[in-house]
Amino acid sequence: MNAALSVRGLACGYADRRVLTDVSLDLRAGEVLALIGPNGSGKTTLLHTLAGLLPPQAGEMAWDGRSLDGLGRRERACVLALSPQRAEEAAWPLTVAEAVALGRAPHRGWFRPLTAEDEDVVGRSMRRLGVATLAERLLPGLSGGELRRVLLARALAQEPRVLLLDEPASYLDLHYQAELLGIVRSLAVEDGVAVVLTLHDLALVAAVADRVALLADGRLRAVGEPGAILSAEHLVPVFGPHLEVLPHPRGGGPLVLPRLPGSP
Amino acid sequence: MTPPQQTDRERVRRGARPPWRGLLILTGILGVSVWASLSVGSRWLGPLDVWRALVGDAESDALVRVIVWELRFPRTLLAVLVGAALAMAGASFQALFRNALADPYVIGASSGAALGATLAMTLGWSVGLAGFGPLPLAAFLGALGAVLITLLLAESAGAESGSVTSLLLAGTALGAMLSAAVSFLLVWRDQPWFQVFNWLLGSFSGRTWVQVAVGWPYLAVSALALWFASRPLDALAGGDAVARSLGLAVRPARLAVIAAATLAVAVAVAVSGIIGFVGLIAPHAARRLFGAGHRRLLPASGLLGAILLVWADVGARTVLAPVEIPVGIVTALIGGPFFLVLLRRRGGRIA
Repeated sequence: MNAALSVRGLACGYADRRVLTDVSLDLRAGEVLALIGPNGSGKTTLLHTLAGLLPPQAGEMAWDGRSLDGLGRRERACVLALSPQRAEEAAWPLTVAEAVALGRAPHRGWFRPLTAEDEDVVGRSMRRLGVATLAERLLPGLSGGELRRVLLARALAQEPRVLLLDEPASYLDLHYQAELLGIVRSLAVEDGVAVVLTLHDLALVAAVADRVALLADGRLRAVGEPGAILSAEHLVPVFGPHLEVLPHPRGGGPLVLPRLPGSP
Repeated sequence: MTPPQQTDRERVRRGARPPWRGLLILTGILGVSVWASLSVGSRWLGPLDVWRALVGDAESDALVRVIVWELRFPRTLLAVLVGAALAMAGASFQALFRNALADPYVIGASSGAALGATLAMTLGWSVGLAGFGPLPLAAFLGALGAVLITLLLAESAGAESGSVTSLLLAGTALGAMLSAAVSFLLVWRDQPWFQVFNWLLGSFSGRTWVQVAVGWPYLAVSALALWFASRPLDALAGGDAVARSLGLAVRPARLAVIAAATLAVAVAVAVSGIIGFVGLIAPHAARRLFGAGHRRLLPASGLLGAILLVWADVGARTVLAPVEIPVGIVTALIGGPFFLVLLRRRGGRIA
């Protein structure tokens, strides 16, 4: 089967600063790929480049064998959806339904009214994320966990084949982390969506990701299954010695925890 | 039991439906306000007198007909148009800049208009165009010119990602420079302060059907354009990253909104001077009452702005009658406390 998303020799960054060079990746449909790396290693930059927010400085990105450069903005937004880390709309009192309905814009255009079919997609997305009952609530009144789910519901309403999530688990309580990452897994496994997400909490990586890409020093240092990448051998050179890699007591991928300096 | 799909659809519709009832109520209030504005003045008219004069009843008093049709109706309509235009432009700029303090003049339109008008006055220009007198024409051109310069400055200043901030900063800096130029001209050429003052604070005094006829097509076009941009505005209010990832061409969309809003503001300034506060508070009140979805917010802001300005004009011509005070003084006097109440009730949140 064709790779859902394929990246070859990608360089990305900002006009005056290159952040990542020579990144090559393949992502299959239904697969969850976690981007990890220290602060400033380019996780978000890579995600934004994939989403088309930043122009690539070199290299190729293709979806299902078609170059992403050849797609128009809207076509691209029908394939790739981004759920950004910062939610600036949190201050702007749209209703939940309006916020999620914006996800239909790539399909419906910016001027035509939504059809009944669009409304069904919006309704399904809200139900999937458990925010359907909040439809008439205003965004500023939502809790952090609710807002995250609303933003994910909007990305879902785009009916994307590739979902790009920037730190979906940060600032969430354990309960919401588990719930949200569970939804992400089900989107991949049941709906066949390819998911790329950034995670700075390495304890969560093995639970949600099928594969892990380790970014550091302006390049992609390693890609592989969590069991292979989440090892002292890979992590210590990048994150430093203050970490502990433990086998998960109930099986599954390894856990990475911080080890405080001076502890035994 | 209804199937879940149907309830979901119903929920989506309820959550995104324009609040027709609320808008209808506002329209009713606007109608009453206009009626009141036609009745109130140096000569008080009963509701029936106003009606007779409006329909041109042959038995009505000829003087009353002149008062209603030639004096009060055009300036009231102008207040409706200008109030709605300023409020819609203000709502759009607030979304565009994601800043609750943005007003229609945020990127320099007012100071540009002031400089234009002052130049026209001091240099004694006498050229009119397309129904605009020399002073409104100069104000109009000044507003457009200032916004254009702000755009160019912001473009040359900054990275794409920061361009909203660069726009705000460029607008502020340019505004300060132009205001200084206005003050300089006034002092240098020893202008009659009152005339300029009256204009800098806005007034509907002596406005006739000419201004209505000249102004309304532009205002209608830009209001319609802004309303069509309501979904892009929803997306832009969520940040450039969100808008772009939804497939919106951010820069063209932003320019289109700025163009439409600036046209409205420039025409408003040309026909009535620089009226502050309406474009700041009407959108705030509308957002509280109707939410921030621009499909609801823009019409609601327009109606509230119109209502506010009609009453402000009634105040302006009655408080010190027979002397008229600049309407901008009234909008600030009513608007300031109102704004502070909003601020308190909202507990310091941004919108």
